[in-house]
Amino acid sequence: MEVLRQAPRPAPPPVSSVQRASPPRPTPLASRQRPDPNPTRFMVGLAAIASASAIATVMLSGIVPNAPDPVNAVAIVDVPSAAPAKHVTRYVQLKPGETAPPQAVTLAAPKPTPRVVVVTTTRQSGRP
Amino acid sequence: MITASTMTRPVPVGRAAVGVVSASAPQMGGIVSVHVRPPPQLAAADAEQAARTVVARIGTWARRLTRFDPGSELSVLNAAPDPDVDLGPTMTEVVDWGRGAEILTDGIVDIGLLAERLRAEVGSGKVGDPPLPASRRWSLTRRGRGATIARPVGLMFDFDGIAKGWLADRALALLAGVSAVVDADGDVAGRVVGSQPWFVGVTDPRDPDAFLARLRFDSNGTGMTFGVATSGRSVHRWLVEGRPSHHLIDPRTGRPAATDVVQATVVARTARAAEAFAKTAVIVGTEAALRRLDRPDVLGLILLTEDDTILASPATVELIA
Repeated sequence: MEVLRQAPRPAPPPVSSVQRASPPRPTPLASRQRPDPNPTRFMVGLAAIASASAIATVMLSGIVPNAPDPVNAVAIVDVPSAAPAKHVTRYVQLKPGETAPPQAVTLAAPKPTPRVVVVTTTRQSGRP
Repeated sequence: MITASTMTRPVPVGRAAVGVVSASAPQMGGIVSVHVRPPPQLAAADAEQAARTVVARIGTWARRLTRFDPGSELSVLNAAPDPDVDLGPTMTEVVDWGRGAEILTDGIVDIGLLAERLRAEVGSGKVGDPPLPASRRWSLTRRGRGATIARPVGLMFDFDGIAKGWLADRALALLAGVSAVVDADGDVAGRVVGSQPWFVGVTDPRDPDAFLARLRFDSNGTGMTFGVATSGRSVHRWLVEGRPSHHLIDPRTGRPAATDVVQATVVARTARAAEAFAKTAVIVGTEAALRRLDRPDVLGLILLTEDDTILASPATVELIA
């Protein structure tokens, strides 16, 4: 303790008069307030969750196929594939007064067959 | 003349028309039926009862006019030993129409040919060979609703060719103002009231389940009436000494008509006129039929000839459904 006390001390850098005038004074131990640990704990928790999420993403990337990028979806469809593409055609029956969209293919509904009910016949009659 | 290769081909009968009530009964050796399309103010049950009543009335009239019942008024007339015979109202009307049919067809339809017909049936297994009358001239004197007929003894009458059409028209008159069809065993009378048409099939004699055509009858807005009748030689036929014969007697020869027409169907304003014209068409043959029946009161004509040709008058095409 004394050695330290006797060692030459380097010249202090020049300081402003303000600093020199009001140096920090240690606070007495009995009255000193400890910092709130909760924000630090919260930040550490968030960091842990982020790390776990990043690790899980890296681990699962080899199992789950990547979702296609919407921008490149057409290119994917155009690639020849062993499985035939499934085309779905939607049929919408237009109500009276409705019109089909310009791109739609319209089919004329078959006209109902007129109901012809022959009520009786004319024929040769009598006793053969 | 239009060949009927494009005419409507067979469609089976049997489905009931919507909104139509019907009644039928076996009569006159065939089937009689009445079809009614009830107006809004007439309940379906009442219309059906009316149809049944009309069918019964047809049966009552027909029993007076048949030659197959010895007790019928016709049989009594044919067997009467006196030249003058009193007739009841029904007989009077039918005999009177027989004279009208004779005039309408220039003598081709003749109700005084029963003896000739029976003679033609000799060899067919039917009765026959009666003596021919010295004359077929007869007259009718009306007395109230009845009449007295004067004819040579031995002159026998046959209403084949006039009675069913008359019965159909008479029955239709009972259904005044109603849209209805009366089928007197193949001779049809109809009235169209309202927007619903009637369809009548023309039977193909070569195939009982087929039609030569389907005829459509629409209203002209005033309760249009129509008659359709078919005559032919492919049902009533037999062999005499190995040669085919039939029941349609040509009054010009007194024998079964030598004709190339197998079946004729005529559309007219009444069933009785249609029946008389149809019989005429078969008896006179294709060429003469087309000439004779080119008249305004013949609304349609369909002929089936023995070489399986179907001919239709231009007016007929407008009726084909």
